[in-house]
Amino acid sequence: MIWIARLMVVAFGMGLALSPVCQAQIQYPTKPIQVQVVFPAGGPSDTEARIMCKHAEITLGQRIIIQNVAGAGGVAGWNNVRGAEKDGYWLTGYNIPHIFSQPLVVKEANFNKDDFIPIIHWANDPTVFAVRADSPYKTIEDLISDAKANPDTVTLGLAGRFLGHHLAVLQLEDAANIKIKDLPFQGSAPSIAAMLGGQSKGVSDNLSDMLRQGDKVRMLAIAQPKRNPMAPNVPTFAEKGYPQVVMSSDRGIAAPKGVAPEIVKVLRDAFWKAAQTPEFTEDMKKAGVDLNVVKGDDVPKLWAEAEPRIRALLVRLKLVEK
Amino acid sequence: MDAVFDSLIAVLSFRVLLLILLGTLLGVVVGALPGINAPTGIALAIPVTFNFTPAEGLILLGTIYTASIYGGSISAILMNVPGEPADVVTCFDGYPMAKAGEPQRALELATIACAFGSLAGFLALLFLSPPLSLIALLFGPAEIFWVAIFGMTVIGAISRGSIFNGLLGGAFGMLLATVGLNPVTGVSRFTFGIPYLVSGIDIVSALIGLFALSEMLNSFQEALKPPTEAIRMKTRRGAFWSHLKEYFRYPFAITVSSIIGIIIGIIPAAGPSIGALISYGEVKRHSKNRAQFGKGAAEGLIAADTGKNAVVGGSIIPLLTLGVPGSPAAAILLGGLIIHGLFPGQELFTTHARVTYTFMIAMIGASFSVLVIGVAGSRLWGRLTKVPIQYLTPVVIALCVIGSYATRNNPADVIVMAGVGLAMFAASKVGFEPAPVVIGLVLGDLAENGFLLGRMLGEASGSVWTYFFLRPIPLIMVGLTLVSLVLTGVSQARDKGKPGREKDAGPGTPSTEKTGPSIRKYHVNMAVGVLAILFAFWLEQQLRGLEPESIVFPVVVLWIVKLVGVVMIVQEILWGRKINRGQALARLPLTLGPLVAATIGYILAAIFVDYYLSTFAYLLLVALILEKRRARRFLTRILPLAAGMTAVLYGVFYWLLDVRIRNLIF
Repeated sequence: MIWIARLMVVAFGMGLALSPVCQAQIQYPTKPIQVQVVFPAGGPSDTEARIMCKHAEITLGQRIIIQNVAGAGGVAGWNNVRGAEKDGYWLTGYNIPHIFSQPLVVKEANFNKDDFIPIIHWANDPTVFAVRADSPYKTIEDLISDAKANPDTVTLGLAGRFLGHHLAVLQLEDAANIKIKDLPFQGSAPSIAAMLGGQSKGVSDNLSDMLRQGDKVRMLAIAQPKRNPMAPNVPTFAEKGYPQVVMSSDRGIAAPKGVAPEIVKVLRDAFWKAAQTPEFTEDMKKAGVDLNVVKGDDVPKLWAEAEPRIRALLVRLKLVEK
Repeated sequence: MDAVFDSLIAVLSFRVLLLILLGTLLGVVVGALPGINAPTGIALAIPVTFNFTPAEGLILLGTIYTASIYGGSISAILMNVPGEPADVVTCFDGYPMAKAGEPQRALELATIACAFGSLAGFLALLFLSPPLSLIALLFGPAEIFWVAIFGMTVIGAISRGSIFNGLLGGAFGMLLATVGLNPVTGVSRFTFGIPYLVSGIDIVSALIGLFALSEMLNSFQEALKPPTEAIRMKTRRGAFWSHLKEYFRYPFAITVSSIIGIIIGIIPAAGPSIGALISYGEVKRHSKNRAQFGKGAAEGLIAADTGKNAVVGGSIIPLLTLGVPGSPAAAILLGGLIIHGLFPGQELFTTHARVTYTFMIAMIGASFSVLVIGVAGSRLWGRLTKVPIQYLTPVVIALCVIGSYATRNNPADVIVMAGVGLAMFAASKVGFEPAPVVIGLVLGDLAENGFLLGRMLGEASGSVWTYFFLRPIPLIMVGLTLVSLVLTGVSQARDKGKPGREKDAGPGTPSTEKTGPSIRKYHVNMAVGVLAILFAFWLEQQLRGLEPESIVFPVVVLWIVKLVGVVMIVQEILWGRKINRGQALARLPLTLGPLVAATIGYILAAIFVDYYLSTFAYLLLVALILEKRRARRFLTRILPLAAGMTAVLYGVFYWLLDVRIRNLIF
């Protein structure tokens, strides 16, 4: 199909005596685009991708069809990236740090970050450590000194293994030289329930999820270099002397490696334009998302910075050989 | 209380009533289609609610939720196709009842049960939310482990054939549940180097295979038999009122399953399937006509459907009060809440009280809307069972294919569906039933993860033993489990004394007309026992070299398999000849071969070549093989039906639901 379209463009261009307007034109998109979401319908990754795509449909002038391919913390879906059609009609949602960490620790993972061409990046959801409001831990120091005195007794719930929340726990264990008992639940909901029910002593989770809990929880520290305007009273780990603990769950959409640069440009422009509209900002705000929109062109630079940090951590903790 | 009256008036507006009706229709359709279940339906509707007020959006989503749980009963009753795990329990008695010529009774009883079940759940939501929400917090991993173990005792209560076959089936289901990456340990088991298996067996695909595909293959067998007198469908005007009266003849079943449904709903991670299973098991255990369960007992159908819909209201209780969803579908409802800027917790009952109460009252309206639409529709849908097998069965198999594909958009799920379905078809010939397998599959995950996380919490608290046994809720659950086991044993022993008990009649096993040369059950049970033991040893080899934490659960299950195998062999050697003399094994009619082969060929062509073209060809082929007057009816019936059904599938799945299965021409 594409070659016919290209041929037509070429013919059209020659007819116009190589007018400069038509030089880089490409007939795309001419049919609906599929976007794969690797987490189940209704979770934050899915909700945000649906909002993003709803607005991108307008700027692209084509329907976008969301397909949820969930399982094994995203590995099930991302294993499709290498085999996917490279015609620009198949895109996938991505999560950071998952696409860095999983190829290193999950031996069945059949992808790495270089298989993704980022199109748009919209959210940074910082990781926070939180406890129930009536917990004896008033500050992060309380938690750390308890963990020092009694190794492996401080239990922290996680939404899953090797997600950002888990890596933040590993970062703190490494930085403070403590042992925390981390509990990988299947998703945030049961992890939060276990904290509220008093079965676990706290959680490492998204800031957005903790804000939603209101005064039922106390956030002890946030894994960002600077305090977050949405939770200005929560100190950073850096303030407490652990600048290494920096983690967030970042979300965006990518094309598989091999898609033509002209198509990537069309997609990046269209998604960027959609993400600039006030309606998009409004919808994301309603969903409680901490927006941080980055155009696809600028994302690889961010990845190049973040990935080695994760790799170094996993290597140092002997979770990866090299 | 002012907020409640304001909300009542808000609900009575024309617009809201229209939304409730629309949501019910959408939900029923979504629920009735296999592979498209409550969570997917709600997720698909979330973008639509962007344009509504928060209350309206919530009402639409909540109505879809409850109506789609009901919708699953329709395909379960008429075609034995469970749209999601909970519907399996509806299959137990609903399908036999419909098959016995009473589809309308089954559908209306299910409708009434679902409507009153959801009413019970929503009344609890409206009046008892704050106190009941505390239950959710009492159930940590160790407690959920015990809920799963308690649920497994249902296997004993629902096994109609030999208890050993039931246990082996349950163990097989649990082993299926352990396939893939364990979320707690991060180690994958039983993947045999296949990347697809890392993410595990898709539960819905496995269910569709276990129940629907195996049953459809069996139904081919019936079509090949010499024609018997067609079953007359009993329909009467005003039948609804007699069905309503019939429903209320079982106050015990209604009360018990409503309460179980609500509590299971509140407990995080346990959804409608577990509510329906435990309700069914408990009601059966205490019922006088236990023997009729599984053969079309009204009481069983009522217990299942009341239980599964009571879960809906229950699962919303901790969602609204604590932000902890009580079921997977409720988790998606949480997404719908947040999109409208509503955060669960105290604020919902103070600042946003009006929205919350409008929603809760509208949900009571939704229960009645399910009743109205369900009863109105049951007259139409009931006629489906009158469609001859040669036309209906291939359409259901086509639905099985696209339904198992649609849950994760993965063609490998279709292969799993077909593999599990064929295995179940073969196993049903030696007395196995799908129900225990499903229980193992649904509860296996819950039990394993509850055990692993509970053990970590126990280690952190000092003693794993104390953590699992010597705390109030675990103690109660252990007690309930033991009582349940003893009662099952007693009732099995008592039933054994009764004469004329049909031992092997289960759904999916046409056991009455066994023909041809018979093999004695003795040999079959010996073979099953030996094979089970060999299989267990082989699987144990596959676990070699993995860290102990990741294999403790599968190893325990494999030991149970070996033990049951040994007991089976010993029993047959000592008493086998006396007890089972004369029991015959159904012989596969040779004519079934081409049909099964055609079905396998079709499934492969559908996922590798083109779904719609293959479906069209398959519908033609099956009708041509089975239709006696094929020449005369080719142009008048076979061709238009095949083309029409393919077009309907295309319209529904491609256009309405955006399911992109392989197709070449469109």
